[in-house]
Amino acid sequence: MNGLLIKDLCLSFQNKRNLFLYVGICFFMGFSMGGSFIIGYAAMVFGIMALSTINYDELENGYQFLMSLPADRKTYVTEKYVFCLLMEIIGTIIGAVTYFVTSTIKGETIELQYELIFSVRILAVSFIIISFMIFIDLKYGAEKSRLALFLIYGVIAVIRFAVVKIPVLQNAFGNLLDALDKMSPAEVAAGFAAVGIIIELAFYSRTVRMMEKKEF
Amino acid sequence: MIKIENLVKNYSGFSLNISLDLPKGQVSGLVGKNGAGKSTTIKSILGLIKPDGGSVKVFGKEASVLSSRDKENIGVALSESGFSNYLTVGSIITILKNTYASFDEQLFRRLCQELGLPLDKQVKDFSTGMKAKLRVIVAITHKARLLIMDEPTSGLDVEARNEVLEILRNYLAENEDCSILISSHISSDLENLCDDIYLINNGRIILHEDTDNLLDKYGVIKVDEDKFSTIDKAHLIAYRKEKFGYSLFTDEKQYYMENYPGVVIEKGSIDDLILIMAGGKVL
Repeated sequence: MNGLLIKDLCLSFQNKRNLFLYVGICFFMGFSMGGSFIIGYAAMVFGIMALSTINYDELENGYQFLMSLPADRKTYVTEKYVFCLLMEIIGTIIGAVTYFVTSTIKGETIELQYELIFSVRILAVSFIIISFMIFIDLKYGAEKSRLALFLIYGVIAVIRFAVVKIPVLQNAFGNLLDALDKMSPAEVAAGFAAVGIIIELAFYSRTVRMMEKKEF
Repeated sequence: MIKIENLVKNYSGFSLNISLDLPKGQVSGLVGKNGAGKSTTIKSILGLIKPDGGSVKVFGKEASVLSSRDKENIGVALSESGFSNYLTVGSIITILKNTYASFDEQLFRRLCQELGLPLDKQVKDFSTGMKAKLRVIVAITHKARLLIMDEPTSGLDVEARNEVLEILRNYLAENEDCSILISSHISSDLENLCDDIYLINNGRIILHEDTDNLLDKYGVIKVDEDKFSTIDKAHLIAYRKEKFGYSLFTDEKQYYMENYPGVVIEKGSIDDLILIMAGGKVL
């Protein structure tokens, strides 16, 4: 798996201009947007960067060669999940550092404990999205997975619209928020992390099964 | 090293059904036209596709259950697949060091230098020949006991082809127990490298012969219509209609040289084999 991890690191950072651009945009957004939004944004950007290594692997029948290397299909999938998680953690750290630096420059006060818990929540949610995207990318390829990403955004928008407009859902969502409010921030973060891990394990196991059946 | 028994793989409009044996220390060539089934056979050996029937064994194990340790003993060069073109050779060295326990970095660097492959350039900036050389270098620098080469010289000019074949010959000279399965549609590559040849056509092995026998005993007889009707066909394998009459493929060249002194008999080549066996009528 080490060889695959190094391959993905090399692919992700081979375009240094883009890397500097992403980090630059993070700092710019940190200054302009304010708040801790930048932490989630940076985590997602680095997650998508990691995800794009699947597209590199797919190019020019790359899987045929990769699957002949001394790593089985399960190892390949595991490596993708590990790599995406590592990149999301790097993104979260860069986002958090950007947030602290910009807040300090602006003279804003930071509640460290709250922000750490917030970062865990953001990391859990963004990794659920990336885990789903790993499955879609490996199953359907780069082109179709882009459509899937739009579909996810569409579903999120529909859910949001439904929660705002439909009284039953509005009440249910309100009750959920009330319940979360009664929990301590640490409990909420732990809950997010636990639910995230369960969903990610489900996606991981589904992806392994799919890859083991796939022909190249 | 490889034992394929009644491998069956069905696609829409194409069916593969072959058996093949590659013993230790042997170099076998798999020849055939495009679409004959060479790549499907190689994909089966590498476990990239699942057979619909039969078995494909590598090192005595089913190809689909080969462990990572088994795969470390296989060197693979595929015609249209390799490491991402966005990597540099330098990055590939680091990847291989962390992939193969027996990776010989010194040999890799030496071969890259000898064959003019820059370490700091992305593979996408390489010529077709440079990419082919890199694929072969990747396959042979981790002390593999089995090399699988799918059209390693495809699309190369004569000079690049010779360089690639020279790398393989040197590897064989230094690793006598190593087995190689090489597919190609360029006959001269295989004539000088392989111990035996499998001819594959429409998903079937239609001829398996030692290369020496093929070149010594096999021949192409060229006859007109009249001669074709009277010639003894007992030792003919296949024939093909030509503008001048017929090209006949025989595995007893000497017999026809002695009994038909007037007819034109040419030394058999793998190109003839492909043309007549795959394009003509097999007797």
